[in-house]
Amino acid sequence: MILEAKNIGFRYKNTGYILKNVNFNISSNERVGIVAKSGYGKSTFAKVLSGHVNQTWGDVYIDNKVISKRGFYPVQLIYQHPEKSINPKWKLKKAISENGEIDEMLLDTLGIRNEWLDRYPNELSGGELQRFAIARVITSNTKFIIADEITASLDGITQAQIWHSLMKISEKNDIGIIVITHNKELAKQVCTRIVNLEDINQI
Amino acid sequence: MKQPLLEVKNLSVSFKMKSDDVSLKDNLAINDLSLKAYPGEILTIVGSSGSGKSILAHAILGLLPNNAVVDGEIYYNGKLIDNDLLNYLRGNEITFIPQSISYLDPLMKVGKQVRNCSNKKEIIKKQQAIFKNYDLCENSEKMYPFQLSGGMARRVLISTSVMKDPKLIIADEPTPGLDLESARKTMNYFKALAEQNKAVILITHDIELAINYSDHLAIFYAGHIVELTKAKYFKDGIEHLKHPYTKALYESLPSNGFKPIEGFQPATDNNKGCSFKDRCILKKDICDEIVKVQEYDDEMVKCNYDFRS
Repeated sequence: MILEAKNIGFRYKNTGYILKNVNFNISSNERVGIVAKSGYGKSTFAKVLSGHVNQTWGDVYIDNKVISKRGFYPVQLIYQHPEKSINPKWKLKKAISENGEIDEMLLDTLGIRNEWLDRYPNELSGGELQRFAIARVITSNTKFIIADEITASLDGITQAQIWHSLMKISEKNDIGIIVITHNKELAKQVCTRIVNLEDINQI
Repeated sequence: MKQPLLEVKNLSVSFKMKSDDVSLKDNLAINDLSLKAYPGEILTIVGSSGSGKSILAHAILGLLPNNAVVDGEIYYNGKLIDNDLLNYLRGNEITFIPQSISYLDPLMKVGKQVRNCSNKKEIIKKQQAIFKNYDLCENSEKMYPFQLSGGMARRVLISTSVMKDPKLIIADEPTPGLDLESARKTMNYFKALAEQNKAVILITHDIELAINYSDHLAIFYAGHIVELTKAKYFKDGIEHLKHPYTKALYESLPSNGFKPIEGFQPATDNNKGCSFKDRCILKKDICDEIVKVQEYDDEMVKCNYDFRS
């Protein structure tokens, strides 16, 4: 399966281009790093690919078909701050049931302990919560994941644990990963290919 | 011998749980923690997420919530810090750079915030000089926080902390989300502050970046300091480190093998055994006994394994 962005342009009203003529593709067996200095539109590009914002120009395709905005979106975004993406008033069991039945094997691979399911988000650490944010986006309909600085606020051991789990899951479920990070060493460890947005964004 | 500017002695912090259930114990966050910060040096605190690093910063500054119970002593320049002294020091001699740029007031122009609303000529002049020093353009003082990039907002926070000529600066995670060039620049700002004989305490997860600028490292795990060492030793390689957690942290870094260990950090407790024992490769029966503090020339390790032998 191939995710393809063709001639993506993005601008807000009254501002210059944030993205211009961006062409990009990734296949499901890849983990592609996107690197660039601050302000080159990495996070905006992530939001376009995952359908969170509508691009001003261009389209995003999976296997040559424009992705439909109806139903479950096959490209899912994970952020740096899980506490901002999980409803603070839901217990975690409810939060991860949102996308269908709980997959015990998946929780096990991610190192999620059963007793955490009955807790509220503020009763877990950032690393524990980020595992839930990942579990929540892995479904049979998920084809690609965008990981936007998902371990930048975590310690080294937790970072390595989470990435090793995520790489295992992506291989098993044939999910391609787009890795956004400032950490070059991390990108070298997890990515099969690295793209510099400064080179492909023609602003 | 050099005197420490700040000395934390046997500090414990716990949070009272709001519950009628008496079986629920208070939540311990930091247990029996001691450290010293010296003028002219950067002390960097690293370690597990949720190990109490930010809570230590908040405890030093007296910013803990009302349900916090604090035990132990903190000395500044040899004097015990009480409420009166803290009220004087905070914002004057001890300043804080918080973790999130959301600490800026969204409805006030940043120049005015940094001046603490003062319109005195000399204060405006000082703020402008500081902005210039931190590469903030002349227009930026008239901007609101939402108009700044993440990097600029962080430089505004740093500006706030140096308006009053502090002697101790505590920075909580000043670099995540910054690209390498901006992150290096930020670290150079702290280095420059240390060179002016200020003491800097830096809390970070980015060890690979921080060790190039720091003097000492404190490694936190489950509310304890497991090792105090020189940043240089961490840089020189794993054979210069002692505590098994420090070594595991070293090997987990992307540039050192990216090797995780299994398991999770347990809740902080004041039981006599070692908190790390269940994940430790050196685990023995002695790990259930009271954890020994081993002092070396320029290091401290809390572990029952004897590193001399």
